[in-house]
Amino acid sequence: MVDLINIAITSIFIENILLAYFLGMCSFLAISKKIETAIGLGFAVIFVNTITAPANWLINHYLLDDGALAWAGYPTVDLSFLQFITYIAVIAAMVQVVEMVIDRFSPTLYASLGIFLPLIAVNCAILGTSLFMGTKGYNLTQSTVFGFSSGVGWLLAIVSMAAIRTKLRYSNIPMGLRGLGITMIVTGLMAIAFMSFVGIKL
Amino acid sequence: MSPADTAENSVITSSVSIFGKKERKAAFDPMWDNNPITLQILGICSALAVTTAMKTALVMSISVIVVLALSNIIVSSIRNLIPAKIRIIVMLSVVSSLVILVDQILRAYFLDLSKQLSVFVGLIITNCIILGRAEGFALQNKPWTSFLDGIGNGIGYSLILIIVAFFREFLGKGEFFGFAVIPESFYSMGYQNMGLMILPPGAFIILGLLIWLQRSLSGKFEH
Amino acid sequence: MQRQGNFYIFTFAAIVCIIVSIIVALSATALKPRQVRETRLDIVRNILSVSGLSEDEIQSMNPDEVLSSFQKNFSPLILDKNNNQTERTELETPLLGLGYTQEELSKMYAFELVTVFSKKIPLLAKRAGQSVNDFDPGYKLVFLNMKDNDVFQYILPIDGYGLWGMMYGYVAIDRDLVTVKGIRFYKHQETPGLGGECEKPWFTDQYIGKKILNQNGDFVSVNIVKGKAGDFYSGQDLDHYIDGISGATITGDAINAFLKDDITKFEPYFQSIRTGTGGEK
Repeated sequence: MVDLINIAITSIFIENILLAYFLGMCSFLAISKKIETAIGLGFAVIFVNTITAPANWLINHYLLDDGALAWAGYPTVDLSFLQFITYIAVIAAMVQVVEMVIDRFSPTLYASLGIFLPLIAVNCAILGTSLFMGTKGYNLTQSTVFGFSSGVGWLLAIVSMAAIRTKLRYSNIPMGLRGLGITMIVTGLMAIAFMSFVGIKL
Repeated sequence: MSPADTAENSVITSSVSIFGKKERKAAFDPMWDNNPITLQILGICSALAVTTAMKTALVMSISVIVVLALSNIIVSSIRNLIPAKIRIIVMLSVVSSLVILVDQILRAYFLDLSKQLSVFVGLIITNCIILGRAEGFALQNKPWTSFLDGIGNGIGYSLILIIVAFFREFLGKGEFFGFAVIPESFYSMGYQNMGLMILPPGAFIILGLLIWLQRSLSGKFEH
Repeated sequence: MQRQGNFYIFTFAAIVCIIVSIIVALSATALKPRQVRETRLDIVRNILSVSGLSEDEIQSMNPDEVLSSFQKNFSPLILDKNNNQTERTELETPLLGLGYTQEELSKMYAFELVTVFSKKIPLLAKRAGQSVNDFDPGYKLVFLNMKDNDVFQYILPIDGYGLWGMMYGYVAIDRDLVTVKGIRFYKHQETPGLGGECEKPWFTDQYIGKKILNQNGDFVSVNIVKGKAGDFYSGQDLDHYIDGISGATITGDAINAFLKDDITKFEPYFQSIRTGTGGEK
């Protein structure tokens, strides 16, 4: 149990998937202008991440990994080179399902998210989570917690950024820095703030 | 993909030229005027993580240029055959296969670099530039023009990556391409490497300043 | 884009799947031998480096020279959890039962064989009807660096979790089984400039000449100090401590922990050699 809490705290604060690993920036930059849309997108990311991490783990463990096909009688086969394409296919399929669910239950949210919903499929943070859980060697429960917490960390970063940008709306920013430039610098300062969590051990 | 871009793309040309106006525009625009990172706001994700050293930035750049150019050619060649409903997943399949190829080749011939890049090679798949250009350009244009667009965007991307990597490596480690360039005497006088440059915040800040510079110079601002 | 019916969509999708699978699978299988060789060379170069060869010497050797130098001068020794010497065949036989051919097993270097075996332990345990703990023979590997038919150095693999991820390395211990002759970290995810300094010569060279046993013969390992070792210890005590990396205390603590753990695993074996009750062949 403690290791799960450790994983959660680490992936939300210390190894924040956006502020420490730079993943998920594209949609982050474009959608962080309004807090409501940021929150909506954040929750969508958490949801997709929490489903795809264990799904990909299962596929890797029972089909792709070195020796995974032992149950079918092929213990020496190593299909791990198919990870990239399988993971992204699973993610794209899940996003399609989430899209249909949101459209059915909350057409307003669907309308405000617009094109960014299908863009979650190519959100580096989601593919990154699936790939990282492999390099960190997590088991099924750990991967699910990791998926959920990475999503929460991403939500935290994007909502904070939306809040900051709302405040910045009436500031006098130099022409060249407006939009992307100042967002980058603010993100840098946020990243410094999050670095204060490094070294926390439970 | 700005509205101006899409308008250009839907112009039908009847002539096939190698380096006509349209082809030159496809190749050279993205290198500066319409830089994918600083202006189109694409491809930032995997950009920042690999810029701690110029060597890794260079390998990443080359990989992206190769995947981008090839994916553009392939998607453009089959653009009239792809069913609309599954076009995103078809493009993703093309890009993923190319990335798997690149990853396998790196592991076989450049193991050192492959280890340093680790999962970020795989993340090329989700690099917004590649899908952005496939969807926004290759689907509506001929293979050769799409190839040039891929090369142009790839080079524009690489430019930013390498500049950011240069500053991060020089200020943060005192090195250039892995070779120490700051003389020992500076260190003994009290000069210290700016460690923050190597950490994530450094990447964000340098990129922000670079964007400021690039936009001021090219005159393309956001409002 | 024309509208197409479902039949077209399915056929198109199927064709794309087939073409993609063929290309990807072909490249993976065609490049696999080369990849295995590169990984092998990487590990061997690291072992040569920790044993004292300079980077220039290693770079000047072509791949075949690197491998033949390794096979000539380094003898792998597999020990089980009771520190009994184990022959290769003990690992090969269960793996043959899984479907590996004798040919591919014989081509593997000892360290590759141990790695493959370790990965298959859960599967082998299930087949034997035992729990993983009961089945696990606890194989560990040490490389004996030979000179004139005598052991010159012992090289042990070390690994453990650093600040950001797993760290892997080797430590070389002199034939007296007390003095450290070298250490290398060849794979890690520590922050460049901070924990990443662990790969730099200024750090690793400090280990050379340090002693893992103190004057009373107790095992104390070699520890990284926060700050300068000379500020806290002097005389013979200094034999067991080295300067820390500023800003990288956590990495230092991690290294201390897994270095100690990994040498401890071999301590019973080393002790048997020191007292002359055991021996290597």
